[in-house]
Amino acid sequence: MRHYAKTGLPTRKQEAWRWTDLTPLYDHLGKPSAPAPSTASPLAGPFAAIDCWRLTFINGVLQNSSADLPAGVRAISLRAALNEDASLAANLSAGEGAAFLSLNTALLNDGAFIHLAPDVRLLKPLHLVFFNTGNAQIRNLVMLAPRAAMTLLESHYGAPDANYFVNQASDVHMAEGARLSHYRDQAESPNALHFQYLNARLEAHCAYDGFTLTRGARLSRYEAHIAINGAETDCSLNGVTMLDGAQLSDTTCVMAHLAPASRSSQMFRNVLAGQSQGVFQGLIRVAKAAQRTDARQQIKALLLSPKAVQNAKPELEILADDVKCAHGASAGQLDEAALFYLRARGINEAQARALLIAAFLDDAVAQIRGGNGVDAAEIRNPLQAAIGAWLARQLAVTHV
Amino acid sequence: MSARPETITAVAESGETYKHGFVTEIESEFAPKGLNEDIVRFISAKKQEPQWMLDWRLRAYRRWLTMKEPKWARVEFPQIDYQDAYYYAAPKGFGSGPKSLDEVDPELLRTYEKLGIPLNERMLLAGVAVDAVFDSVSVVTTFKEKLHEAGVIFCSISEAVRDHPEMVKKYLGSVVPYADNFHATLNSAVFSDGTFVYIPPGVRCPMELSTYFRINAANTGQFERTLIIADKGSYVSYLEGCTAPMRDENQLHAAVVELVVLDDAEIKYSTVQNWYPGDKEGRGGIYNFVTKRGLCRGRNSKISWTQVETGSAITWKYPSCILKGDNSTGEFYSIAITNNHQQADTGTKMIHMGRNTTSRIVAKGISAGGSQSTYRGLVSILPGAEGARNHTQCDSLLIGDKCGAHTVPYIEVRNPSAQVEHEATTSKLSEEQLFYCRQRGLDTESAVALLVNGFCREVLQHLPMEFAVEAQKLVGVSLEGSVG
Repeated sequence: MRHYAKTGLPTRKQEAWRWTDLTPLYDHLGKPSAPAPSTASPLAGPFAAIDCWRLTFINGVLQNSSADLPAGVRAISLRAALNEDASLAANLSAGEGAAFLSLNTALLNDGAFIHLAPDVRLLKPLHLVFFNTGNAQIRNLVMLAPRAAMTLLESHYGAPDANYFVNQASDVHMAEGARLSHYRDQAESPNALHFQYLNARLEAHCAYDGFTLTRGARLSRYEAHIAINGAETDCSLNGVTMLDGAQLSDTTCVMAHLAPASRSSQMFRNVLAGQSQGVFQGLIRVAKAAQRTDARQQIKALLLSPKAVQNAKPELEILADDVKCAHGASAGQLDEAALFYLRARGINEAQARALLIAAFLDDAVAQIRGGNGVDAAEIRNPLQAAIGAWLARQLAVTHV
Repeated sequence: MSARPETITAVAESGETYKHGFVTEIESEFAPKGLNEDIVRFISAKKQEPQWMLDWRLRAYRRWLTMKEPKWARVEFPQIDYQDAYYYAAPKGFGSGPKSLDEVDPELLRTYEKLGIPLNERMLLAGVAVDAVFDSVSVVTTFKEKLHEAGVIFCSISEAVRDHPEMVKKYLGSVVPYADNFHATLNSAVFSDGTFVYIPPGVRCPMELSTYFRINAANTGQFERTLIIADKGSYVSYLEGCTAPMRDENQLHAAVVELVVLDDAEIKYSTVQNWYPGDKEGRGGIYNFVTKRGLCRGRNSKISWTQVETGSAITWKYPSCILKGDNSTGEFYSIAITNNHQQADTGTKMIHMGRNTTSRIVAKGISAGGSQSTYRGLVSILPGAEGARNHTQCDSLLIGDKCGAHTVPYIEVRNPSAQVEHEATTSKLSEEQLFYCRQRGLDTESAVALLVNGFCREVLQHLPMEFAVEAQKLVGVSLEGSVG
């Protein structure tokens, strides 16, 4: 709380918040949460049909337990875990200099604590379902011991008309040789404010595969800080953002290479309709010690309407000389020639557009690698279906 | 594979080969040290300026007092004491500028000859007219008569204030307002001299115009102001060169350059910046904090910036284009070479306002020794910029493991019909290519120079002939460890 009191909420004057205006948040501060309902609305969305272990949280409070988890796996409420062993708190980052993280650390309600013992590999995904109706400060702590492997799914959704502020932070610690597939679907209610802070630390020989589908919330920010702390680690961070109306979504990634011979890739695709605003700020930082780093980053945005806005800042900060780093950014509209090609083959305009946009977004979806107890197709297919449904809705509104 | 240790040492060594580091012993006249309203009045009086010019300077000075020095750039330097410098230094007897070359102190002429810039017209390469600025004053402007025949006005800005006040009044501060930023505001208050160019409608300037800046006196700042106006359908190519003596203390160079381009006109602005970069330990050198901005006001107008930044302890500048006229074009070609303890934070801004505006950015950064080089750029597509197009390419080359290369591009798109692309790569000097050259009998230094020249080719080819040769040499020399 002291960090938060010192820094306060960020404003657009601060470089890291240059394009994200937090005014809508002020209505929420200091307001107590509405009483939580006793049951969550039924889960929909891309991960609903996947066979997995599920933990459901309402406004950050765990509702059930998964009794049939294999030996060596713990998945309980963070509060319960801290009561058991207070020293776990040392693994939660305090959030110095990061207002939302420090606010979360100060006020946290609850969240998940996940721990895998060495060499434990989950054969099906673990799914964290976050249903929100009121303000919540949610904190997750994920700790993978050496060579442990799992797929972690997250779904974020809320009561359709609810107006709430969710501030979630996750600390992920991956010991040597651990593997984590981490796929998220952010489909908060249209009035919600959603802040997500991922703080991951990867040791040697780890593999992290992350994907976020952002489609909900009026104002959202996904901020990932990944520290590659060991050699020969592979980190992939990808996402698709689909916005409409007055939505604003901000993706901010800091990929810090601190050890030699690691690889990271980032692939983000935004599609923006209405007066929506997409923000991307990505920083690849290569420390002096991180020789032989191979880091890539790509952000592309499609603007579907004249009022949509895309702001991007793909940043490189390189202090080692034997590295391969590349980043690319582009923004534009659909290629008229490609559209014509499809139209000339008898595909109607809305379908042709949907096809081209889906192909554009698929660059990022195709990065999902699967493994760790789930097939890539099991994840990609429902995500593609969700993208297809969004596009059908969009194009019906704008073009038929 | 990274560059081999011996290559790195070869590159880092011999930091003392700055060839323009001599001092000219010449009697100078200074304004009293420090900065206050009286100094501003003193400079204005020295230049025999009209009242409106003094008022403008004072407005800028008062605004400057309320401003804070910006800190956002990736450059580090001790707090500058703005009171501990001379804001006006002129060779004795230059109160109002010399009337002809015969009145110029021969010592000064020899200085320029030593720098390779003969001011005597008979000795000049035909085709380049020079305005030579020494500390705070313009020493001489060559080929004035010949340019006058074509209707081109090429003179020092002090003369322009006296002889063409209506034009200066209309355009000065129209691109970089006096309250624009800390260093530009300081410049507006105390600018001492600089160049004024006006190209009348339909005229293609018959020769390259150039300004050669030289800082000589110790403890002075140089604040020059350049204003170039290309009227409808005209064309001008303008070159800028700079050098300074080697001194242990840092000197501030805070210039402002404004370009105004009307319908169908084009300005090509090339800089080879070779200020003293400081010694191997990072002592001394020039702080080059410059505001350069061009406004494409008319339809089909074009501005092209080409810069080769090899000198200065710190380079902090962003030559920019405001693309207001429909179909206007902005180009930015840059090479920034840093060695030893140099720091560079440079790039460009392309503000697309008009329809079908296009911009192209090619930035090459080369860092060696313990230097830090940053590309920082903004491409902004405003809602009215229907069909705008931008392509940006930034490449960085690292030589050695103590230097850094950073890329900070900002992209803001507010029109869906715009197409914006950004690409960046960072890599090291390939040992394979070096081996190939060495195997064929080139020594390491020439091989590095050759490879770096190849890396910069895309930018070098945009320089006018006279500069391209010089720049190519500079690139080689700079990586010997000295400057380029």
